[in-house]
Amino acid sequence: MDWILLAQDTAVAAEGKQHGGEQLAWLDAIEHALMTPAAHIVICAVLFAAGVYLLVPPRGRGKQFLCGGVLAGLAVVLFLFPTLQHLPAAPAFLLLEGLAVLGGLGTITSRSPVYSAIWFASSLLAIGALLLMNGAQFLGLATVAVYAGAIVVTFLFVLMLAQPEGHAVYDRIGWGWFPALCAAIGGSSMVAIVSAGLFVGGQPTDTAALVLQEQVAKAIVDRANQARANQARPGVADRVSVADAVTEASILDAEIRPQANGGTILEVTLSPGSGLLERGEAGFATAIRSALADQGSSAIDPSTQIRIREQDILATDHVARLGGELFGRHLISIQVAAVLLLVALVGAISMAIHGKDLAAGQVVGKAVQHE
Amino acid sequence: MNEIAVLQNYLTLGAILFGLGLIGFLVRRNIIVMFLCAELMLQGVSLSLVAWGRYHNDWGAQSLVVFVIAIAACEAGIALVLFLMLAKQAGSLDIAAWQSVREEGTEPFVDREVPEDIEAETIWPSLTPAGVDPEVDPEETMYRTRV
Repeated sequence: MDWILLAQDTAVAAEGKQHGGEQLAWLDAIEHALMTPAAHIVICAVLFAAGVYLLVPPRGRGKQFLCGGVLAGLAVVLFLFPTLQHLPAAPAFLLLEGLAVLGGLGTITSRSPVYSAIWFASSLLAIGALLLMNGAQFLGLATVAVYAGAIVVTFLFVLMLAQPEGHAVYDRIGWGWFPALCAAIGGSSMVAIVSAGLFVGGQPTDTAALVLQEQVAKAIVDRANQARANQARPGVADRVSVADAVTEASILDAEIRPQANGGTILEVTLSPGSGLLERGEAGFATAIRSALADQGSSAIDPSTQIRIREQDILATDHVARLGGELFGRHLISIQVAAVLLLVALVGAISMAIHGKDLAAGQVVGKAVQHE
Repeated sequence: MNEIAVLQNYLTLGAILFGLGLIGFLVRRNIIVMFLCAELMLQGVSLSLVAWGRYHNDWGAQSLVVFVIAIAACEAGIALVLFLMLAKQAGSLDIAAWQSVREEGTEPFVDREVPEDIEAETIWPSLTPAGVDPEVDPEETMYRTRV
């Protein structure tokens, strides 16, 4: 994590000046412990738990609201920061993710359930935008149209029919402070466990991977330019045909992944529409191998496979491809889902009509006793 | 390398949303808000699925999310009818009103320390009428001279 290493360097330099050059061993040990991914995640989780505990009912009045909001917001930013700095449009991502988390916090903390529903709708809008940015255009719009447009509106109708006026008692106090504390600790430890699995496993700031990606990109671009030059010369047959000049931005990713049978594979992902694979891989694999061998890179050995493919998800005709997949491969599932929707509709209507007959002899709800 | 960063970012965000939904489901007593928190959990899972789909270049993830949305719609319809019936019988949207279905041997939940609603009724100012009454034309009171 670049920012953590930078902070460590400045901290060590400052401390060197402060202690006149002598490093106290225990202070050094504490610093080293704090700058690991595990400590980062633990700090984020503790902040998250404290912030959310201060926000949910029965807490959440006045100063608790402010403190809780600041703590939770800080925790979320720290959770997301190590990966955000490597994304191309980081401010947009931060804004949308902040909106989604803000909507989620509003949903769980609002005293009025109508406000909860509106906060949830705003969170859905941010999530729809995030899905759009991640190559799920249809799903982003479907989320907004189906969830925010239909489901939340149905919620609001039910609230109109059933919710009493003003803030009800059970909304203001919840189950008490102890269940809220346990829930906050449990929820944040779950988030910490998932993040720990992500960060401790594969660091996003692996400089060797960056170097490898640059080398592979350069090899592919050189080969493609050579093929274009060959095409212009009459009498030279070259099996690669490229329409336009290929830049290094067309190569989205080059990673080495372990395979199930013990070997490794170098997977190169090209952006869709680059036109590089129109006539097969023709020479790209050998070009990559020779370029890496020339530069003395030890990243791959002769037994490593090389696979080059186009990124399908980000293609221009994304929705057409998703439709092809859904109606081609999951056709029966779609028909079953349609029947399920019909059954749910009929079931809901029949429950509403015959619900009155259930009162006799069934479990009846009573108001909660007050002490 | 970029793809890993995108994946990790979305997975962390999905986990945060799922965690928020989990905490909300456990803390709130209003049936409708509990259901909204369950839907929030579903959104976290959808984000994670789409992130994995992009990372592995697999359409199955997005297909699964389409089905998740369809099932969530069915579930919302049936659940809301159920909640309306429960609310009509119990008289409130409190899920603690249905405590009689709890495990045998556990204590019933009793409200303690009910706080007063801090939001006081605002008293809007009212102005006393001021000024002179307008002059009344005696003919106008009998019939309207113009329309």
